[in-house]
Amino acid sequence: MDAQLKKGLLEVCVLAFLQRGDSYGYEMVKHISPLLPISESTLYPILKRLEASKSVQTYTKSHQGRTRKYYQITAQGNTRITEFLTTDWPQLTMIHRFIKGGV
Amino acid sequence: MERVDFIKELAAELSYKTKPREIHQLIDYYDEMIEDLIEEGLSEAEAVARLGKPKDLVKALHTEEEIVVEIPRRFHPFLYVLLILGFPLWGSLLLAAILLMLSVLLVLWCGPFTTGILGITGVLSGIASVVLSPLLITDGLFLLFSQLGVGLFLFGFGLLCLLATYRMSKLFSGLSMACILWPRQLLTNYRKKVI
Repeated sequence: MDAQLKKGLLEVCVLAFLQRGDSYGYEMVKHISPLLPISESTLYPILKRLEASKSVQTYTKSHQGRTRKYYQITAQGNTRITEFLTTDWPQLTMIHRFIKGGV
Repeated sequence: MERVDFIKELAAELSYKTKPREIHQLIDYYDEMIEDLIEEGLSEAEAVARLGKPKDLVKALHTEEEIVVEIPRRFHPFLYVLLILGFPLWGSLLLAAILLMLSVLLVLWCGPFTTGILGITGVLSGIASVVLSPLLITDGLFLLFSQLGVGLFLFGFGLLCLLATYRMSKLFSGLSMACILWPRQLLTNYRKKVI
């Protein structure tokens, strides 16, 4: 898949996964990669961007004598998902139809 | 490769290319990843191998320009040589600048010093004159009142001088601090630009 397109989709996938509950880096990689292949190093900039846009917030929790960084979806993150479903996706299907029509 | 080596190599690859805070976050992120992979049943070596080479990770990060900020390396070695060779020149200039500033401070503080001395002597002699003036009663009332008047005047003058000293010291101590802190500020600003 095109790298830019994948990046955008991954952001929404991460947010959708976080909608099911707070999570940490490895868990996200494990659950999202069967759907859309994602490595540990590609997840980092995505989380970073989501944090910068305030779509997620973080907190640390201790786990077996070490700390783990947890990510939690914010109201802005939820809005982003709704936007994707109501605006981006219909647009994508239109683009799909357009490209298909040309072939 | 072991976890510690991986982290060390990652830190080395990131230094001078990334903000210190960012380095910290990245190291925490990968450290947590390795621990989680080990917990999942992988051996330490397998977990590290799965993440990839630190060099490649850093290279991939560089394409994300919003995250990594290129920071120029520190001084060129040639600059160090120039700095040492040029010491007789810039060293003496620096010394002259420091001494100049010191003399400015000295001149500045002459004011409060003078008024301070005047104030203390004025107040003390004023008190002495007023308290001791009744002793002049045997020499005549005219002398007594003159002494009392002069004493009161000296006391008042002394108080004014002390007030002036206080005001001036307050003003000058701020100025002096600024004089001392200014070069330091200059240096830290410069450092911020370099590193």
